[in-house]
Amino acid sequence: MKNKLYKLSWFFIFILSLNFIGCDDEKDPGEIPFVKRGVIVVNEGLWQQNNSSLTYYDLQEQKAYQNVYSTANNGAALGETANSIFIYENKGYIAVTGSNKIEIINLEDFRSLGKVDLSYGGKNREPRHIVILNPFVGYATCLGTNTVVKFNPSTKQTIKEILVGDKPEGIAYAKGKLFVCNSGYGMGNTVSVIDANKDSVISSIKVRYNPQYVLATADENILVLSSADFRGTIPGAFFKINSQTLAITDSIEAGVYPIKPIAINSDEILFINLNGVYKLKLSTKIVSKEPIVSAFRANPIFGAIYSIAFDSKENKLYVGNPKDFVQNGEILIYSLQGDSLGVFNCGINPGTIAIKN
Amino acid sequence: MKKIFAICVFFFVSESFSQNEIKFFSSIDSLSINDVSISIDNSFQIIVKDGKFKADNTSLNSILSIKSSGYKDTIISLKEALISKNIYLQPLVYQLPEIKKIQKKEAIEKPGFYEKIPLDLQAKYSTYSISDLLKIHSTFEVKDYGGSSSLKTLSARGMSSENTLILFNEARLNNFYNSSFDFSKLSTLSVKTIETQKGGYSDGYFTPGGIIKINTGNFTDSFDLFFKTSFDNNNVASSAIRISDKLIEAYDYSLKYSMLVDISYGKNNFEYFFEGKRKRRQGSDLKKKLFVADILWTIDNLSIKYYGSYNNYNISIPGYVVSNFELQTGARDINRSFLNIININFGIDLQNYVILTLNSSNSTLLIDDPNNYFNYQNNQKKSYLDDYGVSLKFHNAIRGFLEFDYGFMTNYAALKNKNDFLFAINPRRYFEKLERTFYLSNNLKIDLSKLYIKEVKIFSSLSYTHGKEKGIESQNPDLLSRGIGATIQPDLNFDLLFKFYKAKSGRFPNFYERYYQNINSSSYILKPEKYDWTEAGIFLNFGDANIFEFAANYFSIFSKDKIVWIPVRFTIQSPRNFAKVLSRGAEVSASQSIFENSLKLGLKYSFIKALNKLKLAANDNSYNKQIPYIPRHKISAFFSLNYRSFFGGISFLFNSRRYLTRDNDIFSSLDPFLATDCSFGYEYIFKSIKLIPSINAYNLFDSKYEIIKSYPMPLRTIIINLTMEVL
Repeated sequence: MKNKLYKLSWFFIFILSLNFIGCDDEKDPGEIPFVKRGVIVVNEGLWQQNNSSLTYYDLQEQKAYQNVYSTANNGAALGETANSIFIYENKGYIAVTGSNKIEIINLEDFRSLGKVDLSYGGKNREPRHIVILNPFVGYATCLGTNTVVKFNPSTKQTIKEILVGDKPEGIAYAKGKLFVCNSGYGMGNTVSVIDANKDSVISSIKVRYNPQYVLATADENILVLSSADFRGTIPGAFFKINSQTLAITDSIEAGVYPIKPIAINSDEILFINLNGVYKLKLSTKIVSKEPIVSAFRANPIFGAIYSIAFDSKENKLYVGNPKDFVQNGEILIYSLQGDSLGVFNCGINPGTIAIKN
Repeated sequence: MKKIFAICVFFFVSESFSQNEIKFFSSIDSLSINDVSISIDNSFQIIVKDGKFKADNTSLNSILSIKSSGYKDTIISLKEALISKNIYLQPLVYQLPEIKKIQKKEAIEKPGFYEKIPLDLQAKYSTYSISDLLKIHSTFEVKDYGGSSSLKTLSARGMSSENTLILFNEARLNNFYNSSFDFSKLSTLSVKTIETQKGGYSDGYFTPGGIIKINTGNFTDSFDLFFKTSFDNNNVASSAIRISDKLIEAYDYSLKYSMLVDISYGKNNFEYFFEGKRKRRQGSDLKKKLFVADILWTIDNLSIKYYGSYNNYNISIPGYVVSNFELQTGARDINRSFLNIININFGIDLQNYVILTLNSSNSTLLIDDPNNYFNYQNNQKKSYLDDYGVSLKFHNAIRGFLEFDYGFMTNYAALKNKNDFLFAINPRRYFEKLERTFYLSNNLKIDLSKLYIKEVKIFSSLSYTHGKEKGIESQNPDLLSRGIGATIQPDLNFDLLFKFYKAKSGRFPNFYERYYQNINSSSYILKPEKYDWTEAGIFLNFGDANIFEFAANYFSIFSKDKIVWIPVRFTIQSPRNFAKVLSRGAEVSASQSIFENSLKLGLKYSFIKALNKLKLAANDNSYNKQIPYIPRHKISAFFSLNYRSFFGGISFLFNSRRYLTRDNDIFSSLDPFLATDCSFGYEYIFKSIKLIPSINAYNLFDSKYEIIKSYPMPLRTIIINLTMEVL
């Protein structure tokens, strides 16, 4: 009997000891930076894992702060797949795709100022890109519902929903109109044009397959980037559209799967394709023969560059390296001649880099 | 005085003559056989009911012809029989339980970590699914999306679920589509035994992630009606009815059957906890119907067993739960499948037998997706998966010291009309595969009793698999698997075995991996994964009735060309063979029965260090880090009690932290958790009816945890069951 009770007691002692095995590393809460001029990285996180984050790199301190949103907001999660950020009047408007919201943050301290909730009606709108025209009018493309939602950035209320083409992504504003890329998950080939006064679609412009990105150029026209087929059977291309006549005035080949164009001045665009970061001169319609930074130089693991940004004050190029897409990434700093100037760590899948002045 | 002397002489003489008493036993387990018919010189017959034959008035030269139901006829002279006075009758080899007993004994004595899952009163009368039983009573890891109808897959030793083989009535159940199997589709009520083996080798299969062997056949010797109904606090109701009976019984043949209908339906809107709030899951309702027929026909030393099932389920596919949003996919998974398995066993004796298994599985897979969440731009939402298999296994023994297992297996599968949201980019809709395997293994027993070693067994095994694929730039992959090992059993008064095994094997890519292999590159062709593994362990057993059992195993598995999924764009991923993983660890299992088996305790522990061993660049921080989702420590413990008419039990499951990123970022990880389940019931018997009310509680203490990120597990679930059995 004693022996059996002894054996019974080891069992319960072992169960209680589970409390001690449960002890493991604690999460370090991190620092809240004093935000001045710096680089903000929107890290997408892993799909369906609710682990998007923001990284802030202070240009004066030359120090990176990780998880600044969570740190500034008592450990709250930013959400699922934060895709892009639009900076307006010292606030950041972040399209958090999987969480169906536009998270608004104070760029002085990264505290949340609230959100525009796009989950109303139980719909999975999946916001992707934002453009804000004034303190009371903003628009966001919604991949899940094939719509553009108009919202009031001040009141954080939605105003209207406008049906566009299939799987809208990039959006830009020029001369009273909004231009929306309908990617169709790679099978779309149109750009919807919305009259911003009437909030209705007035035209649809046909371009090459998979238009994802659009910029308003310095001359208030539109530049659409069609990424085409990411297997490279059809190369991507830029399409210049006259925002008045809505006619395509030019097209420029952009290599295999071009993405994420940014304007560095009135005449030059930088973009990424599978080979690296390239420069397009709009006046000559010439794309640089060699990449400024080759993809495998930036990302020796997979040869994939995920994002770029350009600091025109310091003439520095920031390149997002996702590594293997399932670990924390890094941001590489280069000159426009491709000289390496530094690197700092960031979160998982740095999809957007923005410069905060 | 004389009278007393005479009486004493009488008793002495009668006692002497009773020394001519012959007893009958089974040669398998040495238990006495009571009902025996003895024909003497083919002239007259005696029937004994107590297992003893007094041969006092029988001539020593008489020839006895001995018969007993379920045993081979034995012919022996009385003179020969009286030498030992104990006659051991050989069971007819068609008796499946006898082969299973031998196979189980062999499994314990073979290299590898063996676990038997108890299907006791708790499992029978309370509502425990097969995955629940494996979660507590084995060292397998269960991946669970939460809720009673959600997808549940199993894996072990840091490997993926594709490396865990499911053998159901000897037939392979892992489908060729994604190599895994959803355990939520099986019912415990049709299952007779569940056994697992990790490492080692079994019947042509080398699976470093383990084998789970499930056998059905709840046959009875008389009519039995079993009815059970359950209801839980997540608005799920289920009912099951099982009828079994023996139709024919004679000396050398019998026919038995068991039929089951198991239905579940309900909202399944379980409560969960997320970001400080309690919520109810939406869009997770289910309707499930399962029909099972099990038939066993035995004749002489041949047995034929048929298992057929029809599975019809219609379940909502709930989406993920993230900040600000719980995804309602609006989609439904509608599946109709037929499974047929025929096992034919034939044996000359228990050491020489052959098992033929024929199986077919035909499934119609339909995703009803009004919101186009899964079936983007694809109107054809129905696909068909057909799977056929034949396996022929031989077992031969030579003079008791050399045994051979050899055989042939062939599997054919075809997937038609695959639907996927990427079909416009990759329009392949048809996949076909034929896989053939030849295998041979042997074990050599060496008697070293002079060195106080009862037995040494040396095992070697070899299998060759050839695949032929269509639909994906036709592939014809080959795989040669081999292994060698040994067990040493010292000569002690209890069972103690030392085991060692070393092997090389692999895994072919499945249809799903083939479909996505060239999403990003038209020329990339996946290669088979390769494994190199070593294990060593001990097994200890005290007592005839398995009163105390202990097993411990160390394993080391090196995987090369391991397939990992790489994001290509947004949600699109593509598989690549680039990973190298070293998975090392230990498994410990201890179980104890006390108070004459009325109290059972068990403990399972696994330690897994599954590390990435490929550094792709200087800034690759995933090198030597734990593979995502693999806990370093997993502990499960159970305590069950059967006291008179009362039964109950409690079980605990602990998982340590699981990282979600390859560089083991603590901010992207799942916290450790401890979940507690319990069940209690009472058997009430009135004449020939047994009534058993019971209650289950899952997650008794409301632990807030996830096994898959963004799919929170249910908070406390209470299930009330009522079972009735007509005996």
